[in-house]
Amino acid sequence: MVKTHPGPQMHFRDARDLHGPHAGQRLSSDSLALLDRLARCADRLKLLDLPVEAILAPQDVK
Amino acid sequence: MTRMARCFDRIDTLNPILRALSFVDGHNARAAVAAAQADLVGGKTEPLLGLPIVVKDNIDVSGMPTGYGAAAAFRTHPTRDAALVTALRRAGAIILGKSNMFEFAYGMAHPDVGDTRNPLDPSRSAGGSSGGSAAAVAAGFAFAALGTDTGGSVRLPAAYCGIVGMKPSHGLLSMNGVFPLSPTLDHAGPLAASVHDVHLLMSALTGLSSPGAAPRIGTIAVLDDYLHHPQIDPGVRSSLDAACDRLASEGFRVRHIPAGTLPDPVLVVETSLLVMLPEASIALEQIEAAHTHQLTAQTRAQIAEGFAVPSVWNLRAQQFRHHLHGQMAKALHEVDALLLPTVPTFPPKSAADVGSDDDLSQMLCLAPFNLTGQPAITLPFKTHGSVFSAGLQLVGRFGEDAALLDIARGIEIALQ
Repeated sequence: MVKTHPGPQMHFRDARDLHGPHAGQRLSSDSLALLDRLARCADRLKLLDLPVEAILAPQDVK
Repeated sequence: MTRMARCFDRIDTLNPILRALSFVDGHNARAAVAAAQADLVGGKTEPLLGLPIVVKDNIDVSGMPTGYGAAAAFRTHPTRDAALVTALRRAGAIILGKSNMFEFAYGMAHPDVGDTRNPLDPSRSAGGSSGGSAAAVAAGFAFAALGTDTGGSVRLPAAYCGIVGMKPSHGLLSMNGVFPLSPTLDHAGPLAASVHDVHLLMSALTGLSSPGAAPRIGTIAVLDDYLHHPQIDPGVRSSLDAACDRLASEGFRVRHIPAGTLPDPVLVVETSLLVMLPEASIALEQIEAAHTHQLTAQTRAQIAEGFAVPSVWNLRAQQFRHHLHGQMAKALHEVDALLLPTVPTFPPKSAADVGSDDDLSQMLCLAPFNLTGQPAITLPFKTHGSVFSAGLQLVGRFGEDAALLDIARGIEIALQ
C-alpha cells in the first residue's frame, strides 16, 4: 500500500510558514484566518480528484 | 458649450467631492480639441474623434504621471503610451486625465488618494479598484474610461455607479504599459454610459467590427447558483428577476441553469485567491522592497499572504480553473449568454466594505470569469423608484466578444 501525503491540511499558526522576503514575519490574525480558509479550499479542490493534465498554462485552458 | 467644456465644468465642480480623477491634463486636452475640430472640418472620420477619455492610474500615458493609487514615492513619469492608449489616440480620442484607484489595484484606497465617492449618491462608495474610472463616466467627466479587472475591478464599480463596464476575453486587450497585478487574471477593459459606447471603444482597441444593428431577441441562461445564492441581496435578486421578466416579454428566451449545476460559488472565489495572491506577491515584491512603509497595512498583509500560499494549492487551483471553464462552456450550450448579478449588493458606504479579506462576497459573481477568461459585461438595470441600479452581468464564450456585445446591446434596448 502506498502511503500518501495527507495533503495541504496545514494551518498557519506561526511565522515559520512564511517564505521569501517575509520569512520570520508574523502574520496578523486576519491573514491567518484567510490562509486557514484557503487551506480548506485546497482540501476541497483535492477531493474533486481533477486530472493532473488539467494543470495547464492559461492560454491552453481556453 | 462643447462636450469638452462641459466635461471641464463638471470636473471643476464635482471632482473635489468625488475624487474620481488624480490628474487632469487641461492644457493639452484643450489643444487636442482644437486640432480635432480642424480634423472634423477637414473631413476626418476617426470613430472616437474628439471624444474625451480618462485612463486608470495604473496605465501609462506619456506626459502624465502614473500614480497607481499609491503614495507619492511610487509615482512614475512614463515617456511612452501604453498600447491601449496608443490605439485610442489613433482612433481620435483625447486623453483627458488619469482616474483614481485602489492602491496598486489590490488593497484599499490609500489615505493620500482617498476613496472615490459615488456620483449617484456621494455618501456611498464608487467601489474599486477602477472606482475613479466608473465615477468619471457616471459624473459626465468623460465619454468613456479605461480600467483594469483582476477580480472584478471594472465590473464592480461600473455596477455601483450605474454604467456599463466590460472585461473582454483574457489576452484580447494588450497589457503592454499596464502595471501587472496577477498576469493570468489581469484584464484591461472599457467603461462607458452604454453598450454601444463600450462597443465603440472595443472596436478602436481591437479592430472588432463597429456596433451594428442590435439583435431583437436571443436566448439567455440565468445562473441560479449565483442569482439565488444566500449572499445576494433580496433587492438585487428581485431587480434581476424583474429584468428577466421584461426580457421574456420582449421575446427573449430565458432559461435557468438550476442551482447545484455549477461548482459552489464560494469555492470558486476562494480558488481565485489561490491564483491571485501568489501572483500579486511576485508582482509587488520589488515595490514593497523599495518603499515598504509607504504601502498601506492591508496591501502589505496581502503580499505576505501570497508568499504563504504553498505552490501545491496554486496548482490545484489551476486544475480547477480548467474544470470550471468546461462547466461554463456546458452552461453556454445553445444559449447566447449567461446572466447573473454583477455584485450582490447596492453600493456600500465605504470602500472598506468592498473586498476585505474576510468578506469575499463582492467578488462572488465576478472572479469566476477572471479564472476562465471569458468575456463579461455589466449593464445597469433600475427598478421604478430606486436610486441605484442592480448590475446585470452577461457572460459569453471565450473569444466571442463581438457576439457578447451584440446580445448585450439587444438586452440593453429591451430593458429601456
